[in-house]
Amino acid sequence: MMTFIARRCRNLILFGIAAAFFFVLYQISVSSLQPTPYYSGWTLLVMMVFLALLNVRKKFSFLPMLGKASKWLQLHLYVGVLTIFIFAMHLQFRMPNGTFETLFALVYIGVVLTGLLGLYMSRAFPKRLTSHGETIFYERISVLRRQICEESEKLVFDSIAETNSTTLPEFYTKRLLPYLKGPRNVLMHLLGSKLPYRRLLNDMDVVERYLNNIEKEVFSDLKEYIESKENLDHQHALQSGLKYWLFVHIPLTYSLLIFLVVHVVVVYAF
Amino acid sequence: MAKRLQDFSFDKSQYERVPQKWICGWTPEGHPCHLGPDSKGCCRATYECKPWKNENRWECSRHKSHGGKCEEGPRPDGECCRVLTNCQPIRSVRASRGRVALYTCYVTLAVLLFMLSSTDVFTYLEPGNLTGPHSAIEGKLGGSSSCAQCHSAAEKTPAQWLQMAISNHSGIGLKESQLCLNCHKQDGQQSFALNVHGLHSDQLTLSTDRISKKLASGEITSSPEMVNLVASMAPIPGVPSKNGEVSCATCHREHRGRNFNLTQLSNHQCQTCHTVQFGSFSKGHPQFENFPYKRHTKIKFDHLTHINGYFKSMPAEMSPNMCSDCHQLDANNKLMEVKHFEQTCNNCHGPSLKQGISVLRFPGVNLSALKKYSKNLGIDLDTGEHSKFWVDSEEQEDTGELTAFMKFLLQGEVNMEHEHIQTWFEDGIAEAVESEEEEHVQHAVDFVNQIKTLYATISDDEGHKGLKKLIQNALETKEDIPNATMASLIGRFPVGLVRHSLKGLLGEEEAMSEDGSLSSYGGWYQEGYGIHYQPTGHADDFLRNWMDVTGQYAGKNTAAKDLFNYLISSGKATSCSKCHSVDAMPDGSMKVNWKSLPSKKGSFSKFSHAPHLNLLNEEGCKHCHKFKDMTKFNKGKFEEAFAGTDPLVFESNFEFVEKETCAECHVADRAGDNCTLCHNYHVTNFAPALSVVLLNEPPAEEKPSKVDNNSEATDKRKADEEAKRKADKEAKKKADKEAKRKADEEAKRKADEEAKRKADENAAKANSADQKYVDYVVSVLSDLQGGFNELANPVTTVQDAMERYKSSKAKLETICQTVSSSTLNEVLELSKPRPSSRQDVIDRAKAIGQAIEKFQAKPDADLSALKSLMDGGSNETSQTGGENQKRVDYVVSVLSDLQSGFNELANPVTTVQAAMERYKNSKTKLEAICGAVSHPVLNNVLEQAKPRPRSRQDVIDRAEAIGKAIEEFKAGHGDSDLSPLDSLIK
Repeated sequence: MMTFIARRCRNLILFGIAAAFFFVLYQISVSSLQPTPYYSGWTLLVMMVFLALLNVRKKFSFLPMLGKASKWLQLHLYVGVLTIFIFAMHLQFRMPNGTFETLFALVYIGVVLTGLLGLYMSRAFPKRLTSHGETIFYERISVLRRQICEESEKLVFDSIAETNSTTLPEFYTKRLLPYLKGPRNVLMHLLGSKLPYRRLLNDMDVVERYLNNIEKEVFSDLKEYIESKENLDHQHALQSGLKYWLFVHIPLTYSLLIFLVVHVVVVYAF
Repeated sequence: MAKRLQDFSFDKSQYERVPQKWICGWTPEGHPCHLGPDSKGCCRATYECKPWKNENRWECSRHKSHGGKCEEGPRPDGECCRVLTNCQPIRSVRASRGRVALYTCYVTLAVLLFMLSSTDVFTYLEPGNLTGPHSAIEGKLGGSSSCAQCHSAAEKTPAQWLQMAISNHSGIGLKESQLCLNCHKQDGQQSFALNVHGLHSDQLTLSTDRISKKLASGEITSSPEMVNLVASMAPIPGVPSKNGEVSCATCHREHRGRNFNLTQLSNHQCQTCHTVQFGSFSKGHPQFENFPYKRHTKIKFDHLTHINGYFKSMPAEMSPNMCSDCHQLDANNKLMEVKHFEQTCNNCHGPSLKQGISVLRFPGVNLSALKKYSKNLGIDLDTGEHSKFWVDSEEQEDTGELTAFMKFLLQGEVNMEHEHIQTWFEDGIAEAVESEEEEHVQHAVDFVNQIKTLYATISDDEGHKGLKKLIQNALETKEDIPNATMASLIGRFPVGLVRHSLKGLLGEEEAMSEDGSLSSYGGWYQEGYGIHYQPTGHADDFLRNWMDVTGQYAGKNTAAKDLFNYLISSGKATSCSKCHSVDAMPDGSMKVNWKSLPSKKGSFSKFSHAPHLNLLNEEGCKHCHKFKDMTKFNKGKFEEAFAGTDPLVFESNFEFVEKETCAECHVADRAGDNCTLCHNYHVTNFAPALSVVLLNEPPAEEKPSKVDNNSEATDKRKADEEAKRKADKEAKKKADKEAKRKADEEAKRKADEEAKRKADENAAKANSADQKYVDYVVSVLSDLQGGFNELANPVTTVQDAMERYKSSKAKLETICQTVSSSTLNEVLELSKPRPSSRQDVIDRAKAIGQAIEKFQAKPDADLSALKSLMDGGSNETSQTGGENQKRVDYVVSVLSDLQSGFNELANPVTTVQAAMERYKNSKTKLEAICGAVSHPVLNNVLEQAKPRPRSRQDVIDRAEAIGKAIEEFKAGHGDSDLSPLDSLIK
């Protein structure tokens, strides 16, 4: 069993060899007046179809002969990055300036950029998800958010009878309830910033000085809910990121395939 | 410490069905129902549980994960007491993603459909801009028409594109390349245009075999670079075959921007098909072979003999000292051509070019003997009235030989094989007097009759038709020789002279031109019994044309060959071949090289002298073109080379240029060593490609002419003729233009005179009844103009100017209401809107000035209605009249000038200098007036005008004083005698 590092090194070396191989082929092809764009174009087409097949593979997970999805994903990543080189060679290292060709290239660039973003997120986010409190099912987040909100609300308003003070309920209503009602600070969570959370805690610390002992006990429980909500938002933001980048990547891929077909027809016709 | 939120115990943890397409619409609110929507997205909410009956009691069945049994429990009828609120189910994340993908596909298809169905489909599909030259097609035609010039698919529908895309594509590139050739026609050989290097495959095979042999023998070596080596080791389909055709797009890739260099090729690309490959020019490129002296030069010139011999014996001022004395850059700044004959060789070789040649003559025949024999034999010898011109060989010694021209022309007259006709000529001459045998006499009679017929044909009444037919017959060509070519042959033939001679006038004028002295500038003359032609000098058209045409037919027509050989024969003083080399062409024709420049047709290499001339060192041209040592130079071989007609046999005066000489500079990091720098891929040239597309004309049918093919000289001459025709046309055009210009000038002059006359009439008219009205209007307009002028200047009297402007505009409005004049109305319109800028004010003043002139020249209204206005106004002029009035006006104008000068001086305007001039002039005039007449008011003004103003206020005060003086003068001038001013006014 190869270690992760060894496997990564092996893959990178193979990738480098493949890239160098294609580049040499390109140079030879250009130098020998071959119709290089045809060769690079067909290579790209095959690669793109292969990349698109990952989605199909996922749908046919019950077929063992197709190989592991993880292997497919690995190949998807390396072949995807390799297409960047082939694409540059296909365009002869220049940007197209025709309308159709430019749109086609932009769609490809969109697919590549979202793919690279997805690659980053799928590598970085799981670590952050597991290292930041309780890991939550994405589908349960809204239920748990509501649960936190209801429980905390009950806690605060039930305490009024005991404390005869409205300080805590007022603070809860004005400052905490909006925070607890829905997902908050998605972008900050994606960027890994805790600034909004610290600001909230700071506000809570300010209020805490004006609470009596009973209220402080309730406030202590309330802090736990806030912490849970912070984790819930964190889980929501990161898991949303992991899910929603595909909302751009996959549709653009289909668009790319449609462009590709038209491109091939036009190129062969003309 | 955060609270743990999830409980994974079996009875509390809910199973999440992620792949489901629909989820409960309450999920975002955090309280989804446990039932969830169905697969079609319909809400299934009813009750929180479905109670079950435990014996006779209904019990709640709510799951623990949803709170367990409720406190209320089921209703008595067994229904759950907790009703679920209906929702609008929403798509799951996965399903939403699929939906977005679907919509994206729709959008993509819509965009593509829009593009493909648009009238601008080709604008959208164009993969990039065309290069600059080709963009002209785009600009001219646009849309599918422009694309169809190069792509056959552009004329088809998108559905047909699909069909084309899946059909067989072999050879499609070559088919499309044919479209390129519609515009880019290769000179002469269109069928080879797509061949490798544009050559016939046999030529290429020969060349390849030659190189291969050298490679095999080790004479040259091949050292390909890695890229070429790999390409040759693993050939991929698509490499152009050595003898096959190559599509244009193999090397010329379009749609890469306006400034893309379509002809740019790397050295590796050039070498990909080559047998010998190498790294760079300096390393590996084969040595030059006999470069650049592979073939004999067009002009036969022995540099060594001339420089070391003839030039040394010449006076220093006549002999050339430098290469540039005889050579110059050609029009393309590429090749060094020999300067014109007049500038170079004429001094020594010019005089020898005017020796006449015999064209027609009556051969000597023993006429008396022939008459006698023919009479005895009953053969009809009709010497007729021309008999006296025949040379009787008994009286004058004459060999009776025919001229070369006559022999050629008789070929067209006598229907006989060439060999036989030559024998017949000789026999006819010889036998005419030698024998009484009937056959011999008949020969001689026929001979004489043929000569007669020839003369008669040349001088027939139908112009040159007979001669034309003779030439066609002699050349044995049924083709219609182009008129230009035929005209060059026979156009200058002395038909009149021949006819003259036939009419018996020859003998009478014989003495006039016995030695051709009357033709010292060249031309036709008679000498003895013959008609001779003396060349006009160098490049005589008549002889040159005959040489060109007979040279073309020399390969297939003996008569033409004989005449060509006669015309170029060495030793004749008039022989052009003394200096012009003759090339035997592959088809047997002969070509005289008239121009010094080598033909670049069919050349793989190119060289431009111009950029190299600035780099010459003290050696000059000799740095590359080194003279051979006299001991090494084989003069005999040199002469022999030019005596023959094989262009590849040559002994040069110069050493061959070595590759190393070029490689001194031509390396990658200096002058460059790209293959295309010195080599042409397309060996034969392409004609300029502007015609077909841009003119919207179908490609002209190429109709190769046998006469014109392979005849550079004829082509050149035709080009010259075309140029001459154009020059004539241009000259005619110029002359026409000049004539038209003169006619226009004349017409203009007349029109001006007429206009002046009318203006005078108008002026006279104006001087009569309408003058006072005109003056009134002019004065109003002048005021208006003056107002604008002052407004234009940064003066302190703006307010005055505005007042003046307003009052004059009011007056003008009144006038316009009273009379109807388009000119005045225009001025009124012009004066109405508020000026937007100083320039606007100036422009308006200018326009009003023009209107004043126009109005003065021709008042376009009946102004009598203005009388009432003028009566009410300050109309001094109407109250005074006659000669005295003119004098008053003159004085008033001088005073007004003076006042205006002061006024302008008072203002900080930029026209101070002009104001000063005006002030000085008017002061001088006033002094003169005061000298002529004695008037106290004027004297006072003069006194006021003399001292230099002390301040601006002083100037203003004086202007006011002068204004008052003007009024005073106007009122009180009646007592004074102003008649002495007449001389001043004049």
